[in-house]
Amino acid sequence: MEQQNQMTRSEVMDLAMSIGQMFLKSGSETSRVEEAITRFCANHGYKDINVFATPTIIIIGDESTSNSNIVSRIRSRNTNSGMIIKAADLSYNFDRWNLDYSQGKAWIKKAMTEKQPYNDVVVALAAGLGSAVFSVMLGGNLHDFGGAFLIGSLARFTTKELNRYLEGVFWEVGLAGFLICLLSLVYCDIDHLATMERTIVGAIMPYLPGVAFTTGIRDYIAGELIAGNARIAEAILLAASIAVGIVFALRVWVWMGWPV
Amino acid sequence: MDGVAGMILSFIYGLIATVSFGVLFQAPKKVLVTAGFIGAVGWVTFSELHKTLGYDTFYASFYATIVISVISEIMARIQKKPAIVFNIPAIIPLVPGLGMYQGMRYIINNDFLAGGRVLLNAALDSGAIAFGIMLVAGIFRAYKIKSSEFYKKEEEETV
Repeated sequence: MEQQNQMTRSEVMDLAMSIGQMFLKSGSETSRVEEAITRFCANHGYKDINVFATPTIIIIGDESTSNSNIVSRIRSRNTNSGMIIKAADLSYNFDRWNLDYSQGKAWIKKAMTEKQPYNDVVVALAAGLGSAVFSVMLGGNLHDFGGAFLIGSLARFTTKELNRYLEGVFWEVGLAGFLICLLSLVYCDIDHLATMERTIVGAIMPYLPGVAFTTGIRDYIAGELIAGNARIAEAILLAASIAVGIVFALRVWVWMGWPV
Repeated sequence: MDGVAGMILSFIYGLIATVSFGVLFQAPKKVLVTAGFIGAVGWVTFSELHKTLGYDTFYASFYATIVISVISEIMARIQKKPAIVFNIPAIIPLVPGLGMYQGMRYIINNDFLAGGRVLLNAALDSGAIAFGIMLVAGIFRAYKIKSSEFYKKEEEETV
């Protein structure tokens, strides 16, 4: 109990914000972010602190006029289970590990900059494997399996590289759709036993926004209407951009007069 | 294929799909094993209900999600990790991302009727999955709040 009083109000709020950012940037639900921040502040003796989180912003403050609030914009999110586990560990064990403010900040900084368990090549191969299995699950044969594996890995790797120059989900997913459709058309021209539809369907699986959509509906059910709106809008944008990419590639192919 | 061979096949498919998406989501190796098993069990449940017993996708998704969430919540308590790290990769085979894409493609190709039907179906299936997760999480949460010290203390102070 002594150690809890060593941190000032602004230090507690700052640390709570960092934990919230860690959660939200790794694709956690907003209710978990709000709960973690509230619990962290309450554990350190500040029970009057309110928090509001949507997928793009976190606001921490209270109802009085004299104290300061802090606001943080979250511009990019992805799904990162490892980071969620680390953030949950820190938020539950902060007192047990006997950390003070600067140690906590250093811990968070180390966790955020630490190397990911899998590098780009492994991730690309995993995307290919997932795509291939999905194309078989939806009724494809071995030729579709091979095609989806090749195209899925290649598309993942290319979009990861391109993403360094073009920020934004629309570009990443739209380009992925375009590339996948183009490569599938080429692949089906070479291997006549593969069906284009199944190869494409398998290869786009890692980009589909099913999880975003489901999370949005979960937010609605939990009463987080604004967070739900944001997630559903993101899901619709993703689905639309991948469809646009694929249809654009198909139209170009037909327009050039090549056989489908 | 149906019977035991079909079940084993769908178990393997579900396992590989879940593990590869777990790698995409940068899950640690210990989590990958558990999540892969949970996803495989969920996919077997779904495909048995939908393909063998002829349930609608809505009900099949709902029951499969219930199975996935119960195991995830139990494993989350055992391994001391948030349930979401097991949930998210495990529901990947169930979520109707394909329906969303197909609906959008119909709409872009001016087939609004088919697009609307497919999109609505996808929304309903997502609703079933979300409802399943919320139901199980809510039950586990009610149990946790009942037994936790922190909430008791807070309630006394606010009352």
